[in-house]
Amino acid sequence: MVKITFDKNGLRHEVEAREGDSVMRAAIENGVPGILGECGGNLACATCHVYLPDAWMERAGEISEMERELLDCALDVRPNSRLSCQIAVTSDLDGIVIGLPEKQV
Amino acid sequence: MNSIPAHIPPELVRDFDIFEFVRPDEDIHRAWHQQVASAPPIFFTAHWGGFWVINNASLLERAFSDPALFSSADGVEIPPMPPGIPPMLPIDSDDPFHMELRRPLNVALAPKSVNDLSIRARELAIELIEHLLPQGRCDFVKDFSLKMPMELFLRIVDLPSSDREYLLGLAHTALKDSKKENRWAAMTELNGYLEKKLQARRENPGIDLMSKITQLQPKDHSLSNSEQIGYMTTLLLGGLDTVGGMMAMTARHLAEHPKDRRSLIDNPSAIPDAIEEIMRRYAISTIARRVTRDAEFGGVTLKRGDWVMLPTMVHGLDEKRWDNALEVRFDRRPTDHLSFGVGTHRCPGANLARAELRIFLEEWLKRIPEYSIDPERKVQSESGAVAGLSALPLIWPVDGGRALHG
Repeated sequence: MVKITFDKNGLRHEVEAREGDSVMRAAIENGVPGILGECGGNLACATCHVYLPDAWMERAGEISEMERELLDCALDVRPNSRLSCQIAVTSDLDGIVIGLPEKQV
Repeated sequence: MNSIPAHIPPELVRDFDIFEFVRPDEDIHRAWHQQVASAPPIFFTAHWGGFWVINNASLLERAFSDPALFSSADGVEIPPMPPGIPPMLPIDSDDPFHMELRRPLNVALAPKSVNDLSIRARELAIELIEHLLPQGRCDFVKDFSLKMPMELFLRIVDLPSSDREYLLGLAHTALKDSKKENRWAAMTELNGYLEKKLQARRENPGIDLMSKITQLQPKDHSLSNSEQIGYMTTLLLGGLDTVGGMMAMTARHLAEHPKDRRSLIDNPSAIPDAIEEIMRRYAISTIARRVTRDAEFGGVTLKRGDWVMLPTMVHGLDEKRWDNALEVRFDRRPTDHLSFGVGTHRCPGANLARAELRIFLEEWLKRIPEYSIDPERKVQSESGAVAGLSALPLIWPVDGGRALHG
């Protein structure tokens, strides 16, 4: 299992995520508030928006053109924004602290 | 027309007609609740060329999530649209083509865009309610619930608000007229209108969704004129009687349940949870799929080419899935109702629909907190692919006095 911590203004949720799942799925299945994942991971809704620590950006993998296009329409997008349905849980992410936006919609 | 194919076991046949499911004075959700409780989890009806009806929440979840077995490419309407009517894209398509078609739509309905649209939605809601307020009465369906979605469609594709009433008239005839010839004539006129506007965008593109539709270049398949018209028609109609219908269901529920209404007036922050619960209890859309190969499903044998209906209201009214399914409880907070579907075709307008419902409630309850159903007029249900109300007469006190009659 991979330890992932979600942080919204200091309020933290730590989850044990399965490798191969998406970060969005791990958050939803563990009841983390603040991630909606409306479309179920079909890259259609931009409601699983998260912020990665700069040092972890590369480890989370490449951002596709389709993700970029949709991510730009999330709320309060920053340089370290990602859609968490497009990040696969791998052992490389063990210990990561992922920031959550003020709101998804 | 009413023949039963050989592979259908007679005990799985029911007499079910989606267009005449209830009489106008009956409650459509109570009728579905009754059907979910009494008919098999999946059954067959001979009406409209014959089709299966999924009648169980967990089978519905499975069917929505299995587009390889349940295809949308031949259309999602029962009965199928007549030849010559442009396909309703991107609904009438499968991945990966469908996903490419959805790209500009997903962007146009993403959170940031919905925030911008919400500003106009609120202005319009206030304008309409302020206009109705002194009258002390309205037909909610005609006077309110369809206007906001039409206005937002016009915003998204950058067409003038001044076309709103004209298009509402056409859309109403196209969707609801009891004569088939009238429906098709209105549809043809609507398509002609959209064709002209698409042509203007090709010559002079903007940054709106209609311009993007003219520029779509899916792999190995450039969109024909007719497919672009079909896409526009889907946009125009797709968010209209769905959002409008749910708004009417919400208004009726709160008219009939003053306690629920009072709780939202006292605590507007509970509105989003209330909306989710109302959407679970009063889902209105049915959608069809076509079976791609012979397969066992839910204890029956489906044959390639069979049509299957997926009624979203079955999900919210299944007692095996929800305890006391008919009861509306705002603290139920359902996060997994199927009123927007699930899987790759999930409603792209879900965020916008929620915003419209929320804005309607916030602005309406502030101005018209005490209202009820006009006892001298009739609430009218309608059956069909999108169920709903064709009339919802409401009254409220004006100037602290009695509501006006007559």
